[in-house]
This record gives sequence, structure tokens and C-alpha cells, in this order.
Amino acid sequence: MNRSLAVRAALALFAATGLAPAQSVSQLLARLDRAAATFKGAKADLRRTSYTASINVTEEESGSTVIRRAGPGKLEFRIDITGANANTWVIRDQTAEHYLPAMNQREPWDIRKYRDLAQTLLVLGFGMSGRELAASYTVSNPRRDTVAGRAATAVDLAPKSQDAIEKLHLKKVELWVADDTAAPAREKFYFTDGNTWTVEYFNVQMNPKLPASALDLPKGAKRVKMQ
Amino acid sequence: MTDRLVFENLRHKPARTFLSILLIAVPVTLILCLVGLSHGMMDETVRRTRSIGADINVRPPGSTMFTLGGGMPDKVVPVLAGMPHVSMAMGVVNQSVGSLTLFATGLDLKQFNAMSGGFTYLHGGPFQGPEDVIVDEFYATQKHKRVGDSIEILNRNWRVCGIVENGKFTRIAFPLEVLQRRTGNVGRVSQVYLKLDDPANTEAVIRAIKSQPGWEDYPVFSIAEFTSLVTTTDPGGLKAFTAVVMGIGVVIGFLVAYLSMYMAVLQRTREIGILKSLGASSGFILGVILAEAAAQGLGGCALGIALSFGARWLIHFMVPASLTMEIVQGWWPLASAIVLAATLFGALYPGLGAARQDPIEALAYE
Repeated sequence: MNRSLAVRAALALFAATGLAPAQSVSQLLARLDRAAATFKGAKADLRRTSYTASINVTEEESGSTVIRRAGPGKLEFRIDITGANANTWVIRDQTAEHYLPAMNQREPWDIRKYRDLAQTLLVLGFGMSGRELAASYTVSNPRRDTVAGRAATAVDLAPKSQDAIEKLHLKKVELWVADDTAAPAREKFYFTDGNTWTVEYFNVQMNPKLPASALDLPKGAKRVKMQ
Repeated sequence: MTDRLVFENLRHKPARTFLSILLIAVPVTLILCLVGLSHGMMDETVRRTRSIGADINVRPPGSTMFTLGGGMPDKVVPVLAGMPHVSMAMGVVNQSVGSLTLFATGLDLKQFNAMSGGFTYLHGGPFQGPEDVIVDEFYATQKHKRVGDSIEILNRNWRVCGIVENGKFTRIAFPLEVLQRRTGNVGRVSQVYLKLDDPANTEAVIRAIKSQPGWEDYPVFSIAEFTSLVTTTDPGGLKAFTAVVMGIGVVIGFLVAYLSMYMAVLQRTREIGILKSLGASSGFILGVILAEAAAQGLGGCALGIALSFGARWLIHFMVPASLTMEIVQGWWPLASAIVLAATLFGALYPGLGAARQDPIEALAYE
């Protein structure tokens, strides 16, 4: 009786602290599949921390992101970084557009060759099904963790794309999937030169009402095509 | 006999001859212009890079492709400057100015002067304030600007404080921190140039940098290696574009010769009949037609080469800062041979038709 009570107490404590038993990889992927099926869009604030190993320097940026499903298998992204180096990236289909507010300039890039890489780095996880995640990465080491007080399942991702390995020098990614949203709470990218890049998402809103203009950049900005 | 016939035929129809030569000249000029532009732009880049006086160029690693605006923290500059045999390190920011070939550079003028010997000012002088920009003589000419004038670059107006001699590092220079702020790169640089105590140490310093923890993935080149990379790369698929223009040249040469010779054969049907009645062989008739096409082709090639000089003058006159074209003599024989072969091939069908003509039918032709 005492033993059963102790087990229940322990489970209640785990649940309260978010340290419930870890999901298996297949359970996590199935949960992502279910979440992706109903995913229409998301909004979140973000904090990016870049560590440069060569000089042992850490830099932090903050901003927000908007993700919208534009059609079956079609996700569009917007990332706004605020502060001294304010800039915005909008990724749609085969173009990535970089907006520099200090210059009021839009720079569209043709990213047909790099679209997967851009998605790999910029908005991994949002609206991505478990099947898509498993196609791009080898998923392993599921474990329980908390991110800013939110319960999450963390996994290690080893990139399968040769481009990600050779061009980005990406070694591995750690992904924390929040229990409450089934969306990323944190991503940490590890590069072969020791650099890391950590993105934390908070104030996440799943499937909010997103107007068609949510990803639009200022119309009056000068467009300069880049290659 | 053949030469005289060909000469008289060409002289007798001057408008047709001139138009044929002109049309054949167009693809020759196009090919030479494209090759001249690619050589000119690459050589210009190499000259400018060498003019910095640096021995090593350090670029951001691939891991920054989608981070840090593509740059690297400017704190790498003092770290690199402190490495053995490095006598000076200079970080710069580059920003495209509305075209693929024109860049603005943010630099620390004191460091740049110490590394390269500085700009040669034709008018005005160094930066006086954060609103100032230094431009080279070609950019000033292209934009019709003089010292003290206002000039729009990167969507705002700046004051031209100095106009410098062409060929040194960049056509448009801003104070480093000004361009960093303007391009959302505060605290970041696009490239770092290193000057060594002795250029002979270049390879040793590159090895030393790459062997440091965290530096393994940084692209670090000697300036010689970097300039060699520039000349062997294919900017914007230019080689493929040149191949397409060569293909168009072949088609134009073929069609011009075909139509021109077809018309000539039609117009000279009776003449061909007379020649055949006088005993001229089919080979002779074919020879005359092909010789005429060859004469037009040679004229077109010569005119095409001459026009490429005109194109170079026009480019230098209109957009000296945006484009640099060279005359690449090594391509004259190749461009000419391609177009000449197409011309002869185009003349073959009408020539064979003329050679096969029945003299009686030809004489009866109205």
C-alpha cells in the first residue's frame, strides 16, 4: 500500500515538474504527425544565441516568428530580428527575402538549391510531421526536460542531408518538443567547428488567425535582386 | 576567274552584301563582348584584391550561412591580429549596390592606409563625418558627381568627400561602422584581410590559423590562391551563357548565309545557266557560291571584331564603374571560325541547288 502510494506520489511529482517518463522516438514522431495534420500556422517570440568557438564569444538576438501553412506540404516562414541588427527573413516557395529596415531594402534570393538548408536551420519543427523529421534526420536519445518551465521531450537529430553536413558543417541538432504545443521549445545546432546556435521559442500560439498579409514585407522598400 | 566573279557579285549588290556582313558580325561581336566582359570583370577583381596589400583573406565559415547576416563577429579581427607573423588585420563589410558587379565597402581608413598605402585622391580627401562617402573616378563619372555633391547609395543620400583613382580595393567606401549600421551588421564583418611580416610565411600562417580550435571550417586563402579562385570560377553561369550565345551565333550565321546565297542564286539563275553553257562544272558553280559566302563571312568576322572595340568604348563611356570589358585577342580566331563555319554550312544548300541547275532551264528562267 505504502509502495503504491510512493509510486503515485512520484508520478504526480514527475508530472508536476514535467519530468514524466520520456516518450519513445516513435511516440514522439507519431505525436508530431498528429500535430502536423492540424497545423495551420504559429506565432512565437524567439531568442537566438550564437556561440563562436574560435573566439569564445556568445551573442544574443531576439525577435519573433510567424509560420503559415500555405497549402498541402507548403510552409511559409517569417523571422523578425529586432535590435541594432534588425532584419527580417521571409521564406516562401523558392525564394528567401531579406529585409533590412535600416536601408528600407528587400533582397530576394533564389534558394531553390538551398531551400532545405534554410528550413533545416531557420524553422525546424514547426508544422513538420514526424515523417518529414525522420526523413531529414536520424532521431535518437529521447528524454524528458523542461525549457523555461515548460515540459518537453528532447531528442538528438543527426542530419541526413549531405548539403547540411558539407555546406553548413552541421554536426547535430538537439530538439526540445514542448508537451503543450507539440512545437519546438528550443533547438540547439552544433557545427563541426564547435560553433553552436540555440533558438528558444516562447509565447507560442498555435493556429492563430493569420491574415494573408502576415508575411508581407513593406511594399515601399527598394527591391535589389541578389544571387 | 572565281575571285573576279565573287568580287563582282559582291560589288554588284552592295546593300545585300553590307547587310549580310553586318548580320554575320553581330554574333561575333556578342561572343567577343561576353568573353571580354567576363575576363574584364575577373581581372578587375584580381587587381583590386591585390591592391589591398594583404597576404591572407579570411571568410566566415559555412555555419554562418543563415546566421549573423552571413558575416562573422568583428571580435575575430583582434584575435587574428594577435597571431604570430600577422602584422596587421583589417575587417571589412561588403554590401551589393544594386547590381551583381558593384559593391560598397565599409572600412577603417587608418587601417586601410597602413595596409595598402591608401587611396590616391584625385579630388577631395578622407571621410570628415558619418555622412561621407569616397568613390572612385569611374563611379563619379558614371553618376556625374563631384566632391561635395550629394549621391544616393543604399537608399539614402551621402556627401561625396573624395574621388580616388580607379583600381584600389573598392569603388565605393564608407566608414566601417557606418556601413555596419546601415546593413544590419553591427559588430560583424564580411571578411578579414591579414598582412604578414613576411609574405613567405603565408602558408605557415594559414596552417596555424586552421589548426586553432574553432577555426577549422573558416575559409582561409592566400591572396594568390584567392585570385586564382576568382579567375577559375564561373560567375552567374557565364560560361553556359557564352555557349548559348555561340549557339545563337551559329544559327544566325547559318540563316544569314542561307538566305543571302539563296537570293543570290535566284537572282543569278540565268547567269548560272550561261556559265554552265560555257562549260562551267557543277564544282565550279558551287565553289563560286561558297567563296562568296566565305567572303561575306570573313567580312562579318572582321566587322564583328571591330565592333567589339566599339562596344568596349561604349561600356567604358556609359557604365565604367559597373562593367569592365577587355579585348581578348585569343578569342578572335575561335569566334570567327565558329561563325565562318556556320556561314559556309548555310551557303551549302543554295550552292548545291545552283550546281545542279539544268543550263537550258536556267537560260529560260525569267
